[in-house]
Amino acid sequence: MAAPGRGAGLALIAAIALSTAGCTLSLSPLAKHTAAFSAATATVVDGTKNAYLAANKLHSDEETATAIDNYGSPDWSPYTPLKPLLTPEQLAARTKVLDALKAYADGLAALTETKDRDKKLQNASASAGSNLASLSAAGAPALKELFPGTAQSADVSTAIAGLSQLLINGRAKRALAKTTAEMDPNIQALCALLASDAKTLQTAADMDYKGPIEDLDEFLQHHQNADPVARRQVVGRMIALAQQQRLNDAMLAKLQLAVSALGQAHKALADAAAGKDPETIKQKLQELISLGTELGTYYSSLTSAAGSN
Amino acid sequence: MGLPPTLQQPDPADAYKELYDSLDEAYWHASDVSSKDLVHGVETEVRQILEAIVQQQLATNTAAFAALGAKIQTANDGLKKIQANIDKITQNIALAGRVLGAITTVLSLFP
Repeated sequence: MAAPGRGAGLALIAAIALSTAGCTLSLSPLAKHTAAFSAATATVVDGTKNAYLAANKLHSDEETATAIDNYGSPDWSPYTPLKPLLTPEQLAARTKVLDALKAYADGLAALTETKDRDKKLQNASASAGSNLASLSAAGAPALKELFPGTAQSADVSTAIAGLSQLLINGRAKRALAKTTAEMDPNIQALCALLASDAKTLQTAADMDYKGPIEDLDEFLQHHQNADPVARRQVVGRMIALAQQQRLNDAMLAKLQLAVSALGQAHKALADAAAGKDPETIKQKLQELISLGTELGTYYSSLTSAAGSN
Repeated sequence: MGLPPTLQQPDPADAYKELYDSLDEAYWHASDVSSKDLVHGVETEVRQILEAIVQQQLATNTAAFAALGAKIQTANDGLKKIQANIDKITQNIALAGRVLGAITTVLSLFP
């Protein structure tokens, strides 16, 4: 017996599927959060990488200045290698983990990114729906009963798209919740390690500024009769170094706050993905974005200053 | 329960950093060259110890970074697989559409 209501039934399935996808399994807020987390992580990662490079360069400059001061001492040679703060291997280990962190955040964002995926799904569903309806019209007996006419092609496509979207969003949401929950202890450990590293860089940088400043003062103390113009230049150099030191110190303190904020934002994201405390994520992301932006501005100003020199 | 803060072993890096900072402050407060030279000399010694501690901390952290990097990489591989599985759903629908299209074409040959 023919069932004239089947076509309408399909439309109903489609409507239910889409409304269910829209209500309970919508990725929209999570997609926004993961995208924001990914963008902010990229900024903090870039800021951290720049901090390492800046600290290494500062240390290298200080080592060079010390070598100049030691000119004339026994065994002095311009070929004596300068000791870097971070060896290339140590720097590479940090760059690698930071790149992996960035890729992780991008991976989470890709999981919940629906724009491209939905478009592909709509196209695939439209093709499948249309061909299924055509097949029915072409005479497949079983399908003829299910799809009384080709007019239902759009309904069939919508039903396929809706149900598939439901399936995909459900999988993506479960995967996001599982991955972020499992990875959270590792991300917390990494953020704590990055904060510890930033504190160590702060100590190293502090010595790399204070040492040369005192050396310049020692020079002045022992050359009281030096040319007044040269003396002014040395004093000016000391003041400039002290200003750089304060700024660099403040930024390394901010870096520690930023990596700590990154850990908190990840925890909030994991909670939001699990359906817990959806409001905290907004606040934590805002803090992370704000700190990341400050770091980005500072280190890009260093890069442009170095480029203009 | 841990020891009270006053009885806990201080972190060597923090302790030497505090000493270094105190000496730096003393240097700028010293009023004559010989006092400055004396403080500067001690500060240089302390600095060498602190530099060794910094190098040690950076080396220790490097090993920890490598271990964590491997775990994050494993998670990234897992995310790629999930992404591929999800993409497969769309691909399967597209494939089903193509198969249905091909069957329809064949059926149309036998009206």
